[in-house]
Amino acid sequence: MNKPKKSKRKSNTLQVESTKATSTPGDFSFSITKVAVSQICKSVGFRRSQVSALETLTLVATKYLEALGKSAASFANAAGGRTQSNLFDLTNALHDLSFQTGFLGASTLYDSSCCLLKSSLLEDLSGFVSSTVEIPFAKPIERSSEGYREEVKASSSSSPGELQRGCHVPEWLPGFPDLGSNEECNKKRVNGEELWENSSSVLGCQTQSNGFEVKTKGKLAKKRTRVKFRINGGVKREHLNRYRGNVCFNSSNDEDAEAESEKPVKSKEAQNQILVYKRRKLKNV
Amino acid sequence: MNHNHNHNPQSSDGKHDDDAALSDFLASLMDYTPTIPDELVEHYLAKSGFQCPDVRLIRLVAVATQKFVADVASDALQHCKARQAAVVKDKRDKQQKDKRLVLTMDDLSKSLREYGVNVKHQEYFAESPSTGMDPASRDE
Repeated sequence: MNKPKKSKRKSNTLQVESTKATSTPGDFSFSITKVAVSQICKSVGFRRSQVSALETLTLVATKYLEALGKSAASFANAAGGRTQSNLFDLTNALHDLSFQTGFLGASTLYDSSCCLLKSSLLEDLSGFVSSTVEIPFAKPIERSSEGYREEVKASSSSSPGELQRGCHVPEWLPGFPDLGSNEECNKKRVNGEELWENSSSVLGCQTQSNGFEVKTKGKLAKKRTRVKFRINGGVKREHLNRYRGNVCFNSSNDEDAEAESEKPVKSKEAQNQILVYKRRKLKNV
Repeated sequence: MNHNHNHNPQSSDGKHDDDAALSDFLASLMDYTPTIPDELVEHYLAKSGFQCPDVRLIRLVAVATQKFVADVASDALQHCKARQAAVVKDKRDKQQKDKRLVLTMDDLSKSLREYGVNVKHQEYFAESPSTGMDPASRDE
């Protein structure tokens, strides 16, 4: 009784001793990869496999896939901030992953005359495609993302934001918040929180009816008191002291400078008077 | 090979031929179904941050991965065959012919080492209760 069953199984995939029940999505994708990898192993010529060996090869295959994707994505990112990868990025990524085994033209890869699309790896791949027999995956896979998208659309179809979103917004992002929920925000909260546009700092410079329109044309609505800043004399004194070391000013002159720096400068006239006073003193010396 | 087919030694414009070969190859990917399904490749690529709307590139990734796995597996097969060829002949005849080709951890780790992956066989954990038994007697 067992025999026909076994042969049927053999024709589909490699014989594997135990199959585990899969629950998490990570396990699910891993087990699908396992089927694909065992199909490849069978096409190569293996009849049976150790479980650990097959799982190891599957793990390596998934890591290879992810490394390829990561490398291509980072090439695209580095090449000018693109988010979508193209054939060049993928070829670069393939080159990077094949350095271990080596390939034709690896030594002249970064010459200016070398064209990326003439890569021997791409030729090898095209040779592989034309030489190997197509082995489609054992069972058709239901696209998990489609169901997810439908679910998202169904859940957010009521919101008008879903219709308004432009094509630049990726589909996997959640819908914009409902406009109706804005009214809920306008109600007063327990802690007295308010929307930014209703807060007192904004209300002063906008008209009441027109929302964000500001009619002040660059001028502030409120008059504000002038604010003055005065830099303290410490810096100046230090500068003058250093000056004294070089030029040998009079001690009296230096004292004047210090006294001047301590006092706040009142007006231009006062400053001029001080200057005149200084000049006289210098002439006397 | 596709490439050799298109390559015309008489034409001076070799670059054009290369481009044509490449675009032919990419176009042939539309019809080719890799063993690793598109959905799976898309899942893993999305996981690693790769974004591309072009199906051909996703197929190309699938083909590259398939080639990698096939290369590793065929290397392991060669290791397996070489190991069994070294066994004395009368001992070999006892084993049934189709059961000889088993993908084992030893062969796999040998072939993966050439691809830069260092795998070591776990030594003391049995993967199933029947692991220690002779492979020929296991099925009964």
